[in-house]
Amino acid sequence: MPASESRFDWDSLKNRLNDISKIGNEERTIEQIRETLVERAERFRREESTVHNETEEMIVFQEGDERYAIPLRMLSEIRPITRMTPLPLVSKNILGVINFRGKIVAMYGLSRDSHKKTTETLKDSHQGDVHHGQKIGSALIGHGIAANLALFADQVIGTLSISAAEIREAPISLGEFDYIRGVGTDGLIFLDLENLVKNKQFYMA
Amino acid sequence: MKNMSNEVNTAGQVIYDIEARKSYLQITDEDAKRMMAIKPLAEANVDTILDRLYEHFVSFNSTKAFLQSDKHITNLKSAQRKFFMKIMDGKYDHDFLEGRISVGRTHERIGLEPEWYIGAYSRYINLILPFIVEEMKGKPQAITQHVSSLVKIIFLDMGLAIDTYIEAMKIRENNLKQQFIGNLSQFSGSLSEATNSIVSATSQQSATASEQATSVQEVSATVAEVKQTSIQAVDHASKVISSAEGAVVASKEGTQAVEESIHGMHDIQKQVEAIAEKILGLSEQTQQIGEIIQSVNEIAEQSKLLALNAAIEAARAGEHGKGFSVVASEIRTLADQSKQATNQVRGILGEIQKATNSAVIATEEGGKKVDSGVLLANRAGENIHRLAQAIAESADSGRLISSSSQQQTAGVEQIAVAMQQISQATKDALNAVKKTEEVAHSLRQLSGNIDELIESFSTVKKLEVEWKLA
Repeated sequence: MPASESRFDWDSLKNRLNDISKIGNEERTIEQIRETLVERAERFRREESTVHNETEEMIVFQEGDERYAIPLRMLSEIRPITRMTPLPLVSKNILGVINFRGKIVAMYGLSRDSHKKTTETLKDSHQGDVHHGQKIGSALIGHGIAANLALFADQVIGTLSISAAEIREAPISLGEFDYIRGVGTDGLIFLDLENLVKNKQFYMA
Repeated sequence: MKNMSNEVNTAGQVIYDIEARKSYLQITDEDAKRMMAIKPLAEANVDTILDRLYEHFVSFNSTKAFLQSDKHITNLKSAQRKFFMKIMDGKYDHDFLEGRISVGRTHERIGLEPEWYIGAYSRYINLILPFIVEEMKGKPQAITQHVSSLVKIIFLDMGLAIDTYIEAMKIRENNLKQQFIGNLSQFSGSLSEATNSIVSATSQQSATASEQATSVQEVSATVAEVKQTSIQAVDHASKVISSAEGAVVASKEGTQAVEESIHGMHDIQKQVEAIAEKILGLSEQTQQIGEIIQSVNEIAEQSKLLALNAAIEAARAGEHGKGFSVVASEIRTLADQSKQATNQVRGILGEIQKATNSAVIATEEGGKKVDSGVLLANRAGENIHRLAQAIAESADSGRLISSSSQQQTAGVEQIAVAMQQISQATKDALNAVKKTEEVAHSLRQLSGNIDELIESFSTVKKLEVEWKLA
């Protein structure tokens, strides 16, 4: 192998070092800051009509392998949960209860293995394998008639403004499972929390 | 005519016929009687005659030389008296002959030549004649007769003496000749033998010299080859020395280079360790960053939650909450971005941590490799040192070879010169041998000549006494 090929490219390295050393030390001018702000404003600019009439704000979260969306108006608050009290002899959908501002709220899991997963996590927590105060997941606390109910989320992804036209109707074969409003084109499941509270099947599962 | 030849006995001596001589000289009994008649006269005057005779002898150097002393003269006189008186005895028989022969042989032996004793006879006659003339004064016939008889007897005696002298001389000469022939023959034999030996030796020498010349040529050729080889050896040795010296210099440079490379490697090791230390420091700082990121992440999470709750509140506020809802959404977006950023930062930190680990491991490996490199370099240095020593030794050997070869060349040149000299000497020797051979052949010829001479001498003629009257 010729010596030239094995020779290290120190000049290139020095250039890279020089570039690195500049990061964080750049003096930003007022113009540059203004540009950034304008860029950001452009990014968040919305058509006024879509904001007002046809769209609905949804919160998107993940539980198990699925992603779900619930209208913001159906929730009162999202909280991280570090502890939860499991309940004996209840439906597998009920993972346990939590204390929300002095009120006992039942925690529901949508995924098939939510119960098992949270149980194991809590067991680890009690045994000290998980640090005390470590986040187990998030609780999406309902509003209105669903005020005593919270949905368990592994991860809250964010919010979504979506028009009703973008939600596909749930197939008729789902029958009494009317708490599923429909699905999105990307596999997102749209839930109706009020129907969920009303549905007895859900409690019996 | 009467045969005058004398017989020769076994000793080569002549047997004289006294009677024939007396007859030839016409010596008769009368002559004998006359001699006896004058014997008393001779007896009476013999001393005077002898004194005069010896006076005469002494007066001549040639005759004086035969006279050694007075006693000798006295003895000789005594002998002369007997001889002289014998002439006067009047008996000229075999005894007389014996006596004369004895005297003649004695004369020959002592070298008294006829010249002198003929003179002596003459002196005798001259000395005795006055006494005879005086004795027979007035008797001219008697004087004539007696003097005639005396002369006859004297001549008989003289003839015998001369013949005996000649005979003795011939015998002696013959003996000398025989002795000479014998010696010469012996010499010739020795000469022939020596010549043959010389010829044989020279032939052998010639052959040896030829062989030697061939050998010298071969040796010269070999010496030339050896010289060439020796020169080549010197040449090769010079090259070996030259390359060995170059190798020694190169090995010294190599040793130095190895030492420098060991130093360099140690420096590299130190620097690499320093780099590892710094990288570790950076890694620890990234951990701090991670902790900060964690805080930021939590803040973002809480911000997001707050924004969500604010959105819920805004939604519940209906139309009045619309503006607030936008702000809440904005805050939530910022929180999301913060979270994403922290995630990215965390990812980058993870990469940095991996890179740091890799760098530390690489540093450790590098350190180990430097260690083994130092070990190898040390070994290489030792090998180079050993090699340098071996090369230096070979250079020394080369010098020795060169020196020896030069000496050898010098020696070989001396040998070559010596061989040329030997060659020249061999040629000279060959020439000398050829000359010797020629001389030997000449000697052989000479030996042949001598043999012929001997042959000619050896044909002994029958000794004869020829009677010639002067």
